[in-house]
Amino acid sequence: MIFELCATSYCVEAASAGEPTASAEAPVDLGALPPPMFDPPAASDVEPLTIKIASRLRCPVCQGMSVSDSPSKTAVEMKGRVRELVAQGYSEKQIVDYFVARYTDWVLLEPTFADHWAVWVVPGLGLGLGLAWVASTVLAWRKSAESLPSDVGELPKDSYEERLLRELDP
Amino acid sequence: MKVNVPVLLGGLFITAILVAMLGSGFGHDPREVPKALEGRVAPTFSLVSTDGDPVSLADLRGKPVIINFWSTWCQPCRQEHPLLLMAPSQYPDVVFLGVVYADEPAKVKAYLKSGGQTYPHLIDPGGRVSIDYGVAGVPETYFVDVNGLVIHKEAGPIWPDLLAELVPKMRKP
Repeated sequence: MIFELCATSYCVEAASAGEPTASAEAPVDLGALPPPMFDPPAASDVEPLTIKIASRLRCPVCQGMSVSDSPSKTAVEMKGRVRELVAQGYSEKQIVDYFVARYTDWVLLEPTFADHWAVWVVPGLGLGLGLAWVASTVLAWRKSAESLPSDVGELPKDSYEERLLRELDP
Repeated sequence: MKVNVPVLLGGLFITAILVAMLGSGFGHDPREVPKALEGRVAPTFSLVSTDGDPVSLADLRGKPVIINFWSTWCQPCRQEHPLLLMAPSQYPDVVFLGVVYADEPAKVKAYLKSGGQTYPHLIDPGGRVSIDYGVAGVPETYFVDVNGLVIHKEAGPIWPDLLAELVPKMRKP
């Protein structure tokens, strides 16, 4: 069964209708695809590779879920497409590029460094700046503490202390 | 109270960056998929309509084509259905194609029987064509010009003025 999630003017399907409605032999022209980089992998390797690649892809109809994890029909169909391409010998990069060409890098769960360097750099930069600020503050505290008179004996003594010292010192 | 100017300036700087990032983030819909196909050649496909007729996009090269992805469970699709029913008579040189997205053929046939049909509606086995077009929801409509280029993608229902604006552009060789 399909349940729709509609904004005012746009709907995404939200629940699985099960497996794709047809097999991989759908008559679709795939002219834009280059030839596979490798020979078809062993049957036992197809599913692990499919899951690995589908885990990198963002389900377009979900909230922050990967194609591998989502039960939505769209994600199931996308995973099926990944499976087909893996079985034909396409490399991980070729398959990811195939989806990026159609959905842009929006489809990647992990943003690329080249296009989204700020996402990778800013947290580290912020952490570094924060640590530097903490270190400089601590150093400043220590420096000011060292500048204070360290020997109590140098301080002027009141009458009680003078008397006490006199009595203790034979 | 003494103001620590460096700390104040640092705090203001960080706050300004955060506000700018939040402002940028709130300015767009994070669920909206960018329009990857605009300006590119429309992916070709060969599908079979609900009436059993084969349709190939490659055979339609040289004609303006409007491809509408839709579903029976999508209320906005139902809202734009009357406009799409009328459009082929208004623009007889334009080929209109419906592609069924994440739906069951039996429900589609029943809906078209009751709601009317003036152009072919294609069944998309495995969602292959939807994936090729980067469809992330419905309705989505792709306007393909006579050169086979996608000149516009509309996510959401289309309206008469949009057709009036885009069809002349689709006719330009």
